[in-house]
Amino acid sequence: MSTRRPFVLLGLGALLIALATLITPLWVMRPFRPQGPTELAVALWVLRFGPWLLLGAGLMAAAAVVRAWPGGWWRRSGAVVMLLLTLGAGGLSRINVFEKMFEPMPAPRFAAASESGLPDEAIVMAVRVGEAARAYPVEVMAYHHVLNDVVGDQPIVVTY
Amino acid sequence: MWARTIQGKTLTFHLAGIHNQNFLMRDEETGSFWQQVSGECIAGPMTGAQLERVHSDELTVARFRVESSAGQVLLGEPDRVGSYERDWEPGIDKLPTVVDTSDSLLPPRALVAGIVVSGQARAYEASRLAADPVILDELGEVPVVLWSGGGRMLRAFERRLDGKTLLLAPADAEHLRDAEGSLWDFRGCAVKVAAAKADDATAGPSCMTPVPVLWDYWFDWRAYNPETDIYGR
Repeated sequence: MSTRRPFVLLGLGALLIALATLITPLWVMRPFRPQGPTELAVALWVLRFGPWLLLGAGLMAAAAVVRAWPGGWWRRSGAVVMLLLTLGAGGLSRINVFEKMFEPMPAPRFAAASESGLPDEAIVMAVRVGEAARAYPVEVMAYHHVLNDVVGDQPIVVTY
Repeated sequence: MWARTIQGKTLTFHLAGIHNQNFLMRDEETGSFWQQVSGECIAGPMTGAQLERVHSDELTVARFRVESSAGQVLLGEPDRVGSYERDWEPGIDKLPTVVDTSDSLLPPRALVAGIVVSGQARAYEASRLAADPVILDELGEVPVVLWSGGGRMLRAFERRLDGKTLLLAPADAEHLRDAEGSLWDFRGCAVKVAAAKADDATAGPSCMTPVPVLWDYWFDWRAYNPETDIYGR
């Protein structure tokens, strides 16, 4: 019995950390609810230091497997399942959900103003840097929301 | 729109979260988090830094072509065309809001155009701008003009030049006229200078200083500009 408790605790702890890393930012920053300053700070902290939290969780889960190994097949498979769940939750937490919903435009394409194919009354966000002028249709930006661009020699981020 | 070069670094931004119905962005280079609406860094190594605003206007494509004949227009991603909606606002209007505005004069989803001049924020109701396309106003002793070109197309300028306040009134569909008779176009530039001024050979092409306009819902404008007042209320 002496090895059972530590491996279970280690494995469950690892899984909890990985799940918290996955769920906290999504829970706090779900749409249509206010975000208080403290909960927002916690969610952003988890996002920033998520890789370190997951490294810790992975090491804990691996240690649980090592401890469970001499205890026979049942313990071995229990610890391995917890390790896999930990790695799975960790992997999921590395997905940027917001960019899955509103895909980024890493290579934006442009047309001459007369060849945009837009109706005359379509609204664009217009910017001018020196002689260079670019327009970003609101209907496109309202979907992608963020666009990294360079106008003239000025790197800008277009937001909507 | 923001300049993304700051403190010698050029940053690449990604959508990274939601804060009270506005997006947060994260930059690849430092891993900091930024408010999309204010350009302020709120978490990470660059906390407290402020992106510099790049002036932009909401115009119709037709107006953009007139003003920038060599300009370029962003194309949508071909495989996303079905996701783009030209009239998405009627749907948005019905979505719930999370900020309480019951103590104020406007409903949360009232559409307003907001400006900030010399530290003072003021909201102009869309209905007011539609009824009154040229509004002369003053914020913190700075005279401004708001000029609606119809719908979302709205520009604001500091209506003074060389220390003199311009008294502008509609002249025709394309121009405003000042008290001396000069005509001003929608870019805020004098196009036909009154005889008295034309004698002054030193005068170059004169344009008013543009003021950034943000179209926003009242609840959101007020959340980020708590001291704002409402024009005419």
